[in-house]
Amino acid sequence: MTVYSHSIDMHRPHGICHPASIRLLSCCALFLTLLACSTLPPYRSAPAITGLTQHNTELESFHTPFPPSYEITQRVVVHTATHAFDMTSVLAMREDGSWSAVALGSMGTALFRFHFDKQRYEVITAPASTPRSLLEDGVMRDIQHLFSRRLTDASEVVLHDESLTCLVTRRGAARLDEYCFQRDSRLPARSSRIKDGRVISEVTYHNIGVFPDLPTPVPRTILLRNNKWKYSLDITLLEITALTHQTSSDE
Amino acid sequence: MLRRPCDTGDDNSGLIVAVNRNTTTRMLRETALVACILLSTVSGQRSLCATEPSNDNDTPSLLSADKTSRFLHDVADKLGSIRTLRAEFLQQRHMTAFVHTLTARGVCHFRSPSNLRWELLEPYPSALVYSGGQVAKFACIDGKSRRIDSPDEALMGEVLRLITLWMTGQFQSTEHIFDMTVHRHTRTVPRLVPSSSDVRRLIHSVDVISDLPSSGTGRLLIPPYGSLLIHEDCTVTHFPHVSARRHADAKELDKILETISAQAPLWLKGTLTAATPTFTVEASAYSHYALSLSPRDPAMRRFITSITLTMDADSYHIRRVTIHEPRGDTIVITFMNPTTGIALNDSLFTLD
Repeated sequence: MTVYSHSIDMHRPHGICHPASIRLLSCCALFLTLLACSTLPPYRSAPAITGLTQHNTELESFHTPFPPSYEITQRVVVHTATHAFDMTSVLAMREDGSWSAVALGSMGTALFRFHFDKQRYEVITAPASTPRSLLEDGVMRDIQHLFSRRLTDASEVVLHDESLTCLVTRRGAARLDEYCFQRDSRLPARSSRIKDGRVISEVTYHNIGVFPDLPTPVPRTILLRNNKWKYSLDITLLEITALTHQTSSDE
Repeated sequence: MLRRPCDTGDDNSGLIVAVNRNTTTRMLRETALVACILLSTVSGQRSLCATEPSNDNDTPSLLSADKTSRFLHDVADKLGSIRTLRAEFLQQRHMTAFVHTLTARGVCHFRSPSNLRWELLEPYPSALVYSGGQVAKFACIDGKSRRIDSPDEALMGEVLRLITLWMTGQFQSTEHIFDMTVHRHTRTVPRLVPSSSDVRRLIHSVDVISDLPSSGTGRLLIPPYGSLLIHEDCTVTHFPHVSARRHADAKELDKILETISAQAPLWLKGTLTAATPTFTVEASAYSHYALSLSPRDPAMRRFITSITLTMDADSYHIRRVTIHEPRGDTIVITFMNPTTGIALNDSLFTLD
């Protein structure tokens, strides 16, 4: 419902989107200005990864706490420097690594729809003036970092300090994800998404608790800060459900 | 007192959350079971909780142009006199790409001519306020109520404006936006009448209405208290109107409903006779209008196929709004327990 408004006949005096289009475009322009057009200060470099261990037997214990296929409903509050947006999101993560997500407005209208499959990021629905690069390089990669499988063939364990054990998963030549866990409990503590030695996104995990149908505790609150695109996400998990069969994809 | 999404304990809102979660949780579960059984056995249909029944006796008839015009005129006459309205609602989004139906619950307040507060209570509190053509959104963040932005705030303004027009029956003022067709639906539904005069003094009948094919829900109408909404999975999201809780014989009412709940095991066996002798089963004619709005603008049709408003045949109150999207997704907003002519505080419609 969001996207159509920019192309509605604007000359109708009482058209559904006559004033709305103007305001919506203004709103989107503001959103873009805030997110995409700001002058970005340099973000910090990632610390060098040292002390890679060969304790590969430990790797298995760092599997994602989520089932192979699942749907997750969450509240997402997006903060920028001057604004806050509030959405409900549904994410369907599938065993083959593909996923679909939708973000809904207050009355159930779909604001954003994303689909990821075979390393391809696709924005299906978004306000027309929102740059795809922001959504693909920022939001969708952050979703991928948070909810995709942590453990791959390119994963290694790092003994970060006395309290944390980290799993480093390389995603190609320039990117890696680091997930750090409390050493004793193996509960998630923080994570970061790194590209070319720079920390793109930093995540902390809070309110770790048990959800029905999940064998291990998961964080109910996730705070993510994207240093590159200058936004933060406050994510509150509302519901997680294991899926016993693959759902239809968005494509 | 300003009403903000973080506020709790609003005794005027008939809080669904409070009703569902506190004193009557157990009773609601039991009543849901009863309701499901009623819907599956009394109406002679397959189980509400397992499969989708047909509406065999539903006979929709398309109103002619003349009758449609007269209908819209009558609606405008009747709803045009509404100065204030309060209704609870259930908002469901069915998405083809996802298994789950996303559900939100809330309450809306309307004050003529164009003040509307659309307040979500679950899954988390937030409120859209429309007043004087302006929209504001409030959300509870870190325990504090904050006015926040919304990427769809402008569009929401238009949607809320339309809702205010519809609530006062001004459909003809949107004829240039939508093509309209009106169907009148009439069907026979089971009416359960308490056999005991003592019970009948408090609950004179319970009408059982299945809307499963169109909305995936069924209702028990328990006049004058309101309705009970039952979902396909047998969960209940509503209970008779809060006035029932304030009834002089509220305890007695509770007891009756407990008694009904206690009969659930019998009804589980699947025959209507299990409901007797507590109830006498009668047939009741139930009518409603379905007003279908199809966007005229092709650009809009890319995103909304149609909007269907289901209206009571007697009061013309809007019971349900169903928005169909081309991808097959639907948004169903079911209104319950509408109350008109009540005093509404200005703070409900404050934008800042």
